Amino acid sequence: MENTASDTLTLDELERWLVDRVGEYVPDLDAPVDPQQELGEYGLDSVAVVAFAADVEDWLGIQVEPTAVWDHPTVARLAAYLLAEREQQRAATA
Amino acid sequence: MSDVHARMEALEERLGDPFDAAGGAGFAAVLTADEREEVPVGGASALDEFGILSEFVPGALGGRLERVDHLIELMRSVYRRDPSLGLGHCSSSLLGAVNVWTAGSPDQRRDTAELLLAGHKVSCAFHELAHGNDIGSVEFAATPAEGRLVLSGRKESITNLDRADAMVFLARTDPDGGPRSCSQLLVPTADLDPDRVRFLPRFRSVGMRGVRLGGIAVDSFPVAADALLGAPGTGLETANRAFQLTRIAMPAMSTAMLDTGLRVTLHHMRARRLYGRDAASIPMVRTTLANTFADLLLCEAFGAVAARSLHALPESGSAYAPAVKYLLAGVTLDAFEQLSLVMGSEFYRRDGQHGVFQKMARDIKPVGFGHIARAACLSAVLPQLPVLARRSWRDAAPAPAALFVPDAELPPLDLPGLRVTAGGKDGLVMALNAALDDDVPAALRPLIERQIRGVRALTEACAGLKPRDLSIAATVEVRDLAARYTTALAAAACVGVWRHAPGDDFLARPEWLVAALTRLEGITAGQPVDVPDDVEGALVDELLSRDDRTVSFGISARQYR
Ligand SMILES: Cc1cc2nc3c(=O)[nH]c(=O)nc-3n(C[C@H](O)[C@H](O)[C@H](O)COP(=O)(O)OP(=O)(O)OC[C@H]3O[C@@H](n4cnc5c(N)ncnc54)[C@H](O)[C@@H]3O)c2cc1C
Repeated sequence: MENTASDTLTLDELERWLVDRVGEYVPDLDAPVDPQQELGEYGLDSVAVVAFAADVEDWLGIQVEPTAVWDHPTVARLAAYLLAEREQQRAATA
Repeated sequence: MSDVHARMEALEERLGDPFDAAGGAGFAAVLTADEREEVPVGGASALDEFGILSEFVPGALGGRLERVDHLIELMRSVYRRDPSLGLGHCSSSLLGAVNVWTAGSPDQRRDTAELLLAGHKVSCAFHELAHGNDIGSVEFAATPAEGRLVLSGRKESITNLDRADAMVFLARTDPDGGPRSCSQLLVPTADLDPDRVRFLPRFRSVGMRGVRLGGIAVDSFPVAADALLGAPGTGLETANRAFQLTRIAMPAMSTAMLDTGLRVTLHHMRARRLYGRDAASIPMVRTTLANTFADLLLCEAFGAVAARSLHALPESGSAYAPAVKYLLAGVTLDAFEQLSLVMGSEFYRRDGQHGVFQKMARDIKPVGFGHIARAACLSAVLPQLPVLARRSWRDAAPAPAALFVPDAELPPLDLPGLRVTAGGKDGLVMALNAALDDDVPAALRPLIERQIRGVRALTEACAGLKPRDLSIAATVEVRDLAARYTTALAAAACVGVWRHAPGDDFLARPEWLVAALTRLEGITAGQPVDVPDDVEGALVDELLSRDDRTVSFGISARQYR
């Protein structure tokens, strides 16, 4: 895993990173994580989400509350939210 | 009302001398009431006259709650006499109310404040026997229908359910599950429809016998949608944030039970002669007394610092609150065990001059599992460790001095501002470093250095944790890292309290800190260590002197009635 996301990160790349990362939290998956499926169904419980959100923060370089993962509970929804949030937080600090 | 210290004195005065056999809130009355599974009537009315529930209402809503550390210290006057009164008559209402202060609408906050200011109780109905600490699995449902919410299900083992004027429910609003599937509701008792709501028979318990542990069964009872506290789906989030206050405050209030346990043991030992000498001078007895005194001080120091951190470092409450609950509960439970060995056969008596000891030893038990289990606290801390290690434990930004100084100015309490996680922010643990800059007494230096090395080792270990290590299924070994973090925090709190204590104060002397840090090392190692010989005398002398002067054994050394 690279340490930080590139400035030109696309939605696709973000989704792929999230799919991989969720896979590390939930080992022994039969198939890659489905971006449309609820993360809770993979066993990513509210406890693990705390650490997961911090990883996303480090990689994206923005603030991510675990509640964001609760509010956007699939990889696809989370990716869309995070990309928009990243732009917004960057614009705010620019 | 008046300043908190005046209120503390007024409350002590009202409750009277606990050793006075005729006192309405004295141990004799407390024991008699306990045998009837009640609280002493005299104590309850003294608390009502004092307006105790106003202490749980924020100042902005007309109450007297300004600072969590003050609330804790004030409530110790109640818990040291009768914990059933403390929980059943007082702090159980805080459990429900903090959720209202955190997420309620202005109307809900005002209504709840009015209730409490008038002396009425609020119940917090979260627990269901089938689910224990797994509160995200509650089955009690609030189902939307025609613009209303229809309640159905059971709640069990809830304090004051049958005599509260309002209740806060945790209910399932989304059958699919997940962290957004539960919501909280505030329901006035007067609205309950007797045809659809049935109170269940009271639960009977081993300790806290005067606390009314009730249940409720609700069958398709509709409430207005504005009964929701906050947005639908935010029930677990609100609990996580609001309960940071109670998971610090309630164990910290409970240390007053240990004060009483220690006081009674001391009285018994001082009055007893064995083998031609005072029992209090037998080395084993002295060591247990000194150990317990050190334990009490370290618990109260950690509790006070964490309480102030809710004001000064509110971003860290999600890490500090479970740490306090875990550590304080463990230490007080173990200390009672040791004291009961010293009490000997006198521990086994339900009557007589020292009968209150066995009551305290029973009443302390729920501190280990009530509200949240110690094990669940570690589960809450664990997933935060890697990011805390990455972001906070390597550099030593000084902790705000106000954390350690009683009555130093603090920012106002902002419950809605508390966070679900600390985001890796911990301004306390590295306060350990700051102490080494000073002229540290020789006896302290190695202890503090070992703590700092411990944090360094913890940082390494936590940086290596894999995501899969952090879940609820974490191994005992990994969970132990979370436990080690709790003792490191407590050590930092003690060191800070020592450094900032006024020069003439017992807390400014090194002996208690040597004792506290030694005890904490024993806890970390899983192998109790006695306070060192060369500080034992100073601790026992202080204990005896405080007993003679009738002041508390904790950090405030406050004049007791
Ligand atoms: C005096 C008293 C007053 C009470 N008042 C109220 C009240 O007002 N309102 C209310 O809602 N409830 C109240 N309760 C209920 C109280 O909150 C519950 O008793 C308690 O939280 C449920 O725990 P349990 O013992 O059933 O634990 P369980 O959850 O069944 O736990 C059993 C064991 O499993 C393990 N475990 C559980 N969770 C975890 C985890 N996350 N990680 C690792 N291990 C875990 C631990 O070893 C734990 O001790 C009260 C109880 C008492 C005794």
